[in-house]
Amino acid sequence: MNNILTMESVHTYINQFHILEGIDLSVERNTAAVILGRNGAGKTTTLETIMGLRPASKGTIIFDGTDITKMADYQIPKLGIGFVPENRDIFTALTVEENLKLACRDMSTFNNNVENVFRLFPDLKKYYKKGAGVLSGGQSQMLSIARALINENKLILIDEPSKGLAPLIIQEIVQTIKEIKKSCSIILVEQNFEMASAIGDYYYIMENGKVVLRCDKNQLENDDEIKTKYLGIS
Amino acid sequence: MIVQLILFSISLAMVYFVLSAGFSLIFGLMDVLNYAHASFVMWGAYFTYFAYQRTGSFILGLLIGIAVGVAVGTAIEVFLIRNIRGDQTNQLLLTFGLIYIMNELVKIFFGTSTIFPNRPALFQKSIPMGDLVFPVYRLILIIMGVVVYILLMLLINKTRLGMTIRAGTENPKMVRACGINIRNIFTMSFGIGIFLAALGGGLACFFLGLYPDLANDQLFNILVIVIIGGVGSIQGTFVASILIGLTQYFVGYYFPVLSMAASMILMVIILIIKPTGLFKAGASNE
Repeated sequence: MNNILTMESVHTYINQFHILEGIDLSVERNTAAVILGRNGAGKTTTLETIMGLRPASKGTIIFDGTDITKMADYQIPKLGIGFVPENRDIFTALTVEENLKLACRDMSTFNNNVENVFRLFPDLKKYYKKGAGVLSGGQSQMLSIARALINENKLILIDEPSKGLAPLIIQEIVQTIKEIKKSCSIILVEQNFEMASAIGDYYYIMENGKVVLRCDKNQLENDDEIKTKYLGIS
Repeated sequence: MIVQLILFSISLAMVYFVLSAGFSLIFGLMDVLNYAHASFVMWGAYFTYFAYQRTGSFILGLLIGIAVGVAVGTAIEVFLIRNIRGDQTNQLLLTFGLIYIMNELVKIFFGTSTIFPNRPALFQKSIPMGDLVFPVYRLILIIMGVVVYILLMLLINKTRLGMTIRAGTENPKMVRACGINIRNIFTMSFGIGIFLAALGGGLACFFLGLYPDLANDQLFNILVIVIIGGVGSIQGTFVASILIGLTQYFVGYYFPVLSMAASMILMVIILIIKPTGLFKAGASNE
């Protein structure tokens, strides 16, 4: 089986609101799928549904051969899924070290993986013993990604990593995600077209809680209709 | 005289701290205002004293008092509170309802009369301090408060459970996304909170007395302390307990009529100066 993740006709509600209206999506092993779409299309809810944080009411989600649709949220990461949320959600009451240790599911791998994290994000080594509350926006994003890298995950879900960051920092994050891509699969939700285009192998475009188009990089970059109709880029 | 008054105030403060710390911990992590917390203090006091009377061993009585409190508290968390997390109206109704049930059960089990408990021999001794004497029992209460504070700070700052509690206080959803069963952490924290209530009630039963309104009186003190300290902050609870202990004792000594009002006046003054209380909730690295 070549897909690491498959979603079939997945529906999700938030309170009484029907947010995902039958998502079909698959992610091949060792590739980066990018989800694009306007605000409110259901991109973040798609990631949270995969993580079990917003359970699907209908449909199936298969991860690496296991049906995770009804699995408890805290069990899902243990299968090898890392999550980098939209607002970073680092724990500011904890130090950088504690943020990484809390996320680490197998402490016997911690020392090895933390060295890898320091190689990718040298700043985190500098602030390792400091409270995470003192980190800048870019450093917080690095810590949020590092939390997903502290485990040997098979799939990492990354939600709008460029949000609120300076262009120079975004370039740094793009390079890091490209590096991560070598060892695991990625689902990236992104509104920044350049970042999406630099990282993705293929693209899902969402509108009103549904996937309306799957296309490859060539189509995305060269088809003006896709850009104007779905992404509002002229 | 002043030294003795201060020492007496500190012993009262340490009792208040142990009674209030669990309330603060439970609110800080779980966002649950457990108004029945003081009823667990009362259960701790009554069950400890009656088990002590039956067995003749105060330590065994205290263990039984704590075990009853923690068992009932954990069951309430698992079967009732867990279902209404995030719903503060229902939490208010539930925990107020529990106050009535728990307080009535105490009356059914132990009667409605005020009980004047007999202290174990050790608790009747005193330590000479120059011209004055200081009761061993009050010293034990001070030691209990200090030890509980140190252990709580170590638990919160130096253990993985504490790390998870701090993270869970800030963002429970992200803790779940890290693969941690936050429900178990909530249950454990609730159990620790109730453990403290029952420990405080049990060890301080000779000090607090055993009477049907015990829970209501202590709920007032707990709420004032936790609000002054900053809801959810253990350091804040500790500092606020000392402030209230000193205030109640000194005002009670010099102006007995104002004893209870003094706590409220202090709370109002502190809230005017710092509306969120003295310390930030959940913060433990400052």
